[in-house]
Amino acid sequence: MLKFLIKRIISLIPVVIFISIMLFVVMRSMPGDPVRYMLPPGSVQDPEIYQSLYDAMRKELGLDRNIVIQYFIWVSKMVTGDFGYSTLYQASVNDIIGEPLKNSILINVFSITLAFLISIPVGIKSAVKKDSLHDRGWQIFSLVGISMPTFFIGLSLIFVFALTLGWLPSGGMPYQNPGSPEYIAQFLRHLILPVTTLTLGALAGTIRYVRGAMLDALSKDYIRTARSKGLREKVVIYSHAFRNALIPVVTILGFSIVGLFGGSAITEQIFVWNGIGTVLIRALNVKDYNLVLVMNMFYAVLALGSNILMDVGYAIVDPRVKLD
Amino acid sequence: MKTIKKILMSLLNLLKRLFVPRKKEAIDVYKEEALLSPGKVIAKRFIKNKLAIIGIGGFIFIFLFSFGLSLIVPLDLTYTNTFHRNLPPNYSYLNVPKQLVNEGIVEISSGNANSIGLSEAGNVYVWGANYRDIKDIPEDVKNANIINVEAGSQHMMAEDSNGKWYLWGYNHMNQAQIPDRFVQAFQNDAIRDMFGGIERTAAITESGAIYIWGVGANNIGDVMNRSPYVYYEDDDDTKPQIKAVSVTMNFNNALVLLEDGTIRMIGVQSDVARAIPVELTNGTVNVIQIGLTIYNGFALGSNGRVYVWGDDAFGLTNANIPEGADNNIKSMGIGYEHAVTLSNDGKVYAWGNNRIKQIDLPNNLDNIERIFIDTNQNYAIDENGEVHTWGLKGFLLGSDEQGRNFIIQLIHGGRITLVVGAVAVVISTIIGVTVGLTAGFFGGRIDNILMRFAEIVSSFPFLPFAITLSALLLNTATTEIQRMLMVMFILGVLSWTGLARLIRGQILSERERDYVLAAKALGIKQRHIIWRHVFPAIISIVIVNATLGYAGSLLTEAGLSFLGFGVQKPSPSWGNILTAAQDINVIRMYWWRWILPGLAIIIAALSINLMGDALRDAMDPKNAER
Repeated sequence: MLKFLIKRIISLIPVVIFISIMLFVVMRSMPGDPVRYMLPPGSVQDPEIYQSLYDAMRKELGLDRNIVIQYFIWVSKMVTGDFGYSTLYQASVNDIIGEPLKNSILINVFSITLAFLISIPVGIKSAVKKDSLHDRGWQIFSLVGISMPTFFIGLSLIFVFALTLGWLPSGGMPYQNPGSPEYIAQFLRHLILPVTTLTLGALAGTIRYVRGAMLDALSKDYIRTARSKGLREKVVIYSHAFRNALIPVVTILGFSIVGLFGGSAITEQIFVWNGIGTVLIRALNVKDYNLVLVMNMFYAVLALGSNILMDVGYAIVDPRVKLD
Repeated sequence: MKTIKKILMSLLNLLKRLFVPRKKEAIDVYKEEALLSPGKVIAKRFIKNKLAIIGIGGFIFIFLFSFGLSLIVPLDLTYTNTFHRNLPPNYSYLNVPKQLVNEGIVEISSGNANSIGLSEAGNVYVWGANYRDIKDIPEDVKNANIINVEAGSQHMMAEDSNGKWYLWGYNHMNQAQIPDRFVQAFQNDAIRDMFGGIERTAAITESGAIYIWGVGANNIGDVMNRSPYVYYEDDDDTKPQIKAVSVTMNFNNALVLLEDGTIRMIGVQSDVARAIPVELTNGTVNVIQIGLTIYNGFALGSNGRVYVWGDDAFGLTNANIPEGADNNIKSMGIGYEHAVTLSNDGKVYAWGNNRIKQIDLPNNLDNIERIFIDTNQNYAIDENGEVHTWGLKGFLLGSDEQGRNFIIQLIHGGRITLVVGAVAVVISTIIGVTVGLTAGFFGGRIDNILMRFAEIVSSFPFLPFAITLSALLLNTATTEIQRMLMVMFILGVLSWTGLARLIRGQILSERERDYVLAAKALGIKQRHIIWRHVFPAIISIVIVNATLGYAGSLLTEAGLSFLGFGVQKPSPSWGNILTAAQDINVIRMYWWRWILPGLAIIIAALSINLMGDALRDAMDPKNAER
């Protein structure tokens, strides 16, 4: 297992390097001068003093160097855990990234868990009772769901639960007395709508997928054998069919993690949720390329990491898969 | 007789053949499949699927809505109309209530999106868009005996027989209430008449003084804030006062008609204030009616002549006046950007801006007795008491924050969204097919490299990378078309990997088939084998994938544009129309501005998904069993 993990991580290193070079080159070749953002022209009256300040700033950021050297400096800093300086927040990226990261992971973990807790039983029931009212209903739900932009779900929820009924806040996050019980209660109230949006958005796809995988498994010969042996239907469905349907479910779980994390940018934006998606959008709007770079590297690592998780997941759910 | 019977029989037969379903000989499935070509089988299965038909219907509807209608209604990106901001869907601005007509019309006055009418029975009617609570006529007004009504831009006024005034409607500038500072003055000097303006109200008292309040009333420097305005003979305040008779207002000025038939201007020294003809102020002409638009002033003399002055705007000045329109005139009505006159012989003339069809007079305007024109809604009443209307009928799907007709935004937004999505799918399909075919057919190292590359691309989380790419590339794009191409390119380039992988898998099994071996043995070029022999075998996968991918790319475009990283304004797309909904007030108050484009996206994506699913089931019946 450990051996496999190490091997897999090593095999991903060239991919990470490739992605980082691509991202770095794209970012650096963009028009717009980050130094000008940090030091707006006109902030210093005397042009000579401005020029000297400007040059000093450039030197400090390492922008006066060759791009190849810049890349290596950047990589070596990244590896040692120094993510550089954010012109947007006027602070080190290390210092500001923790909070949004935590917030994003929180809503995404919540919604992925919820989505699978709902879609697995629903999908199984739909497959077992194919063409029943239950199945038809959820089929329509998921068909409409995959045809609906996530942000529309979010807007509708805001309209109904925040504006019309007034039960929940329409967005934002609490900021008073972090850690106190009131804070946590407020935080949870703010959490409900974004998590519901993300869950509903993910649910449509996952139900369809679980149902399909289950139907596939149920049509196999070993199910017929199991039934003819006289096994109870519960045993047939859960130990025989579902066990086999788990492999594709693991695949969709992996994709959901990546998709949700990526897609949550829109949801975070709607609910003014201070997550990494919001940070990325803000960074892009003010051309804080260093922050953009870090965010994208984070997303890439997340995606590759969930790939590995997927492989491990296969091995866990399917004893035929061997990790080596 | 015989021939008639024959004809009848043949007609009957025809009808029977057309409408009565014929009994088909039952062929068993395998025989039928053997008889039909694969394409026909697929088409047959597809058409039998009810969901597919719903999908096709939905898509045709969306297609006709956006492409068909975009040919008919042009998109004017520069159009703005402050009077028509955020109006809810309503198309009944000109629907005068039947009861009002039956009771006999005393007066009609119009605001931006509403009109108020007073019947001879003393009843008040308000029609048009229901917003700003303007249609909620106060109970007091319903119970009172009303003798006079008047409309401001978004508020209404009514006077009862006791001289009491009622105001209601939009009140954010306190225009729909009598200000506290004037209450005392009005107790001593009762209001004789009121006039509605653009978020302003003017009152003339029994003594003939003018009070104005509303917009700018809290602004001490505002020129309209010097109430009361009182006029004296020869403008000398030692001489007797001349009573004001009526007032009409635009943004910066108010035009006043005095008892002696002369006119005065209140407000800034604008062109329209400077250009008043002398004969109107010195008593040469006895003015009986006045009007004021943003750039022009109007006066009707007792001699039946119409005087127009001011800048050359909206085609309102002298040179544009139709023949006969300024002579022998009985009464006049001035809209926001147009003018209408009624001659003594019952003829109606109109000139000015025709953006909202304000001056497209109906054909049967003869023997007109009265006209009521204030804004963009026009009412003319003929000698039989029949009401003729023209002008702004309303906004079928509401209007947006710039006062543009929302349906036009939706139509053109749909066109752009559908095209961007389609081109993106074509790009991703071309890349996917090429990569998949090459990797699958050649195998070995090429396969390895290409698939590794695909893996890298597919492992990117889609949205963050798409918005990053878009934000970066949009910097370099200058024209609108370029920006749109960028969006298509980004969507296409990031979404080809699934198809490539699918095709590669198919090709791997396909290339081991005998027909490929035969083609190779015949010495056919590899390129030909790929495109002419192998590709047709996998075309069904490509079609299904492209269809489902189309729905996906519509949604992605919407998401990107929603965040501001897709199609850029002013070009509308369903996604960037929805950007407005990031403002909580839009979600709360202007539901049509986010629900309608959202529904449009859902209908489009849903019908495409339905078609795609049905297509897949038709091509692969085994899959349909699931």
